[in-house]
Amino acid sequence: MSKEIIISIISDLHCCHSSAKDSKSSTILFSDKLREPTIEHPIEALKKMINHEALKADYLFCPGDLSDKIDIQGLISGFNFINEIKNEFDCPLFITTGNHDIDSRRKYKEFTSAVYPTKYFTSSYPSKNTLEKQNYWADGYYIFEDANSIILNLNTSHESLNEEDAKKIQIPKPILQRIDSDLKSRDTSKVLIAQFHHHPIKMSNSKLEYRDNDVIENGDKLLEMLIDNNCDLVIHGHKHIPMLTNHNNLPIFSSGSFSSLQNVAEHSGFNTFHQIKLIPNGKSKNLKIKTWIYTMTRGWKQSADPYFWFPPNTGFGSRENVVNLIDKVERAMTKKEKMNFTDFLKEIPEIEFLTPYEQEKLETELKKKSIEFVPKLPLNPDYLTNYSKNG
Amino acid sequence: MGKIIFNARYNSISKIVDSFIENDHYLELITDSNSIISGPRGCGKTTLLKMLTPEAIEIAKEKNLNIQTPSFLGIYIPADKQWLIQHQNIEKKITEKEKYEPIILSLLNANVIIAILNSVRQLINSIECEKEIKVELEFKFIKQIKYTFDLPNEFPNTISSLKLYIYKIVNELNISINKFYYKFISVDEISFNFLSFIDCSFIASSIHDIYYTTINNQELKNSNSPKWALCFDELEISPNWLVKKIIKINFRSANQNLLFKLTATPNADLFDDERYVSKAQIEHDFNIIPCWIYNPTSGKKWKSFCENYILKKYSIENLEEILLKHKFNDAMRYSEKQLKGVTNHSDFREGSILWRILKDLAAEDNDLHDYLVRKEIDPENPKDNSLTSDSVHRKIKPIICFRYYFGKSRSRKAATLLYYGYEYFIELTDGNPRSLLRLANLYDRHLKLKEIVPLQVQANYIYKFAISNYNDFVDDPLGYSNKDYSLKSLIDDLGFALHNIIVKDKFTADPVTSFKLSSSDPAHLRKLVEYGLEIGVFQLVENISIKKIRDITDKKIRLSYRLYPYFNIPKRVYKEKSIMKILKSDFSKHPNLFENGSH
Repeated sequence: MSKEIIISIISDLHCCHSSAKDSKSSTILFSDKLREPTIEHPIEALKKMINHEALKADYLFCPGDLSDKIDIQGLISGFNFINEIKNEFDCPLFITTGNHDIDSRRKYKEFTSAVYPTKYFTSSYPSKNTLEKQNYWADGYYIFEDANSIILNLNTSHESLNEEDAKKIQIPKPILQRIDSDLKSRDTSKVLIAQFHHHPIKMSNSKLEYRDNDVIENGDKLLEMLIDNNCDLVIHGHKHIPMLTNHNNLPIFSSGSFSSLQNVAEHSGFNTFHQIKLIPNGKSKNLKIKTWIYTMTRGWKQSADPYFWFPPNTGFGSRENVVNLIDKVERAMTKKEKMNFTDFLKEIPEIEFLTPYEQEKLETELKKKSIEFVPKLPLNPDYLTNYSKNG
Repeated sequence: MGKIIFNARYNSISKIVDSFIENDHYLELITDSNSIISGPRGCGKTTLLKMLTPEAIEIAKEKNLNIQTPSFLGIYIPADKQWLIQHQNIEKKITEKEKYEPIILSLLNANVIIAILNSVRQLINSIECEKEIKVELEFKFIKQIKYTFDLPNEFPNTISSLKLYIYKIVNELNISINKFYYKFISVDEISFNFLSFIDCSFIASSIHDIYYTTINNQELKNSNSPKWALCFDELEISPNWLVKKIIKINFRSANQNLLFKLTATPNADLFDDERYVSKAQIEHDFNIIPCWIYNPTSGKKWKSFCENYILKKYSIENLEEILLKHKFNDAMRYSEKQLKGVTNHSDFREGSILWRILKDLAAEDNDLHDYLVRKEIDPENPKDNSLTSDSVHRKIKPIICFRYYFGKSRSRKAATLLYYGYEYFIELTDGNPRSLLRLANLYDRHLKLKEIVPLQVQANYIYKFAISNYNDFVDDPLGYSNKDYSLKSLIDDLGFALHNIIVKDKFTADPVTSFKLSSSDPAHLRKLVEYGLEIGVFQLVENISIKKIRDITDKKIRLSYRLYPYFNIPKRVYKEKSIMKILKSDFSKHPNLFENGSH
């Protein structure tokens, strides 16, 4: 891979008709929502922001849950909404199936199977390509490849055909083997991104609680296989809370929910839209992650709060540990009261690829030495200052 | 609809600018002098002050609103409720002035600095230059502030960091006050800070100098350095000595950089020294802007304000066409449909409804009968003529209408049909923009459609309006509800007493509708009246002399017109009487009223 790749992520729309039961506490995206005022419609507001900020993307990812509780109107409208955004970027769309997109509780008795509405609500879900579609419904995945990238689109709800099975998310061993074999036959120099709905490793809901029974049971095996195939990035949805995990140097990005309120409202969090830039760095890739949050009054904006919910600008892939970086920064600022951030990056470029945890730790430690980024690192600093040198 | 429909304190500047109507108060306020805006709650003081801020001026310019802008920049300083809490906490504990004053000064100065920093933030943002230059300007500005005030080098040179530092030291002060309050430390151990011993005008003036010097050093085009007006809102909640101090120190000193714009309640105690006030006035050191209706001129200005508001919001040029002209004649014809044989003549012509009412009343009421005889009017045929039309008939018209309407034991529906019409719409809001919005909201549907509002519908709206005003006043959290005799008791007693005077007591052509306090009245009663003036329950019927602004003894005061339809009192000012004499029949029920002793 020689070129930078930008991907956009819209996850967990949970779209439904406003008359659906408990809809108002579940989501902010309704199939019957009026398009004006544009700022109050998450899709219209996003289109406005994309145009205003002239955002570009090479791929658009949607890691599941277009609909809320398999609301068929929500499924249809959610799919149309996501295609509107795809058209804005004019790029390929990769969409996978979430637990809310499958009728595992058999709400619709008139259909012959749990996947019937998901399979047939349109002819182009999850892909217009017949072979990809066949593979997806037959084996629960398909692999896309173009000049730069390989994308694994995996359906972790493939086996959730009834309520009982939906509680145990598992990738059948033969399918894991088949994916492994498919990936091994591909060009390893290309960027490899894997997308699925459920989380492959356990995630806590809050600091005090740890209720997590819908993790992919053999997620460890899935990740092992992906690492073995030099995967560059894993994207999933389902948890609704944005989070970045370093799993043996493989970045696992849990996308925030685009419009569902579940697990968001109770944390006083925000709905999010993300863009990740993958930047080649030798054999691996560095990441820059931008996040926008949504409010009905301001539309999609980057947060002014550096560390609440998810940093508006963060990264992954710094090869320098934080302790070493602190030393480097301190040395760079020994005799300086102030240093332009652009100049500073020329000296220590690794700073741009710190994870949220690393960013906060670095800032905390530097502050003890009277050195601060202004504004904070996730807010794109203007400069770095050593205020012990004032005067 | 919530109770508070408009409060400028909680509204964005943009909303305030959108709904702003330039009036004489504003034009007086933007003069290049110190000012005191005086008026009860809801009279628009906060709106006026917020209109002076750079943000408001910017928005008004952007939207091409035809609003005159001041030559200075307003720094809006909201009162910090912390003052009041801390003041109450420590006033009983610390009696020594030199230990008590620095604490309150710190809190005031912190508020002033935060407000200035917020304004400087806006000013820097609005400069047309590269972002790097703005960043550099902010860096140098804060660096110089740190140097000038000898602040520690423990935070970056940014406005937000300086604000956090100010919050931190205020918090430390608050903690040490609480420690002192709970006797963990002595008064000498309270942690004072750099804000404790300096004057807010020195701080503001220094920051003004630093800001414009930094701008000039950056060689930005913006070479003028306008004065800053420190706009203190709700300063009345802070200790009295502090307000006096601000006025005394700042109003007379001719500071090149600063102006002071303060708000005060009508009865505020602002001046220690009458000689100073006279001198200051002569020298035009400041202007006092009374924001209530106290004479026909201020009434006319209010009328013009209301008309402009309705024109701006509903594009209605002639409100009288929609709301009708108020006529007792029409109101009585509508309400007394049972009276047969009356003609369509207006007012007191023979056979008209008012003639009939006066005749009927005079037949039953000896006092009215005698009064008419004294005025050489035949009680059997009380028609008007050129001699009596103005001097008698017009004067007693509201009284006889109210006496007839509520007379004997007639049961009446809640909404009184005597309240309707264009004049009532304007006058019942009593110079209070917040009330105007409340009443206009009730009429909203009709005003949008520009349709004539029937008399009975208007009476209903006005009654709803009066009830909501009454509930607001009697539910006021500071209305002394813990006392045996609360603000509610006073409002009720006074309202019902005035109603009875007009409607039930012996007829007089000049009944009591307003009251006066005397120096021997109970202290608690005086407090209630003062607080009532502050929140607008009562209105002064005159513009109080600046020399004795606080002294409301012997001043003519009335209930706000906003409450008249609740108590059914005719909207006209007749004579006044001692409040004790008006309320006397109720005092036996409230012995505690006298416990505080005489004033």
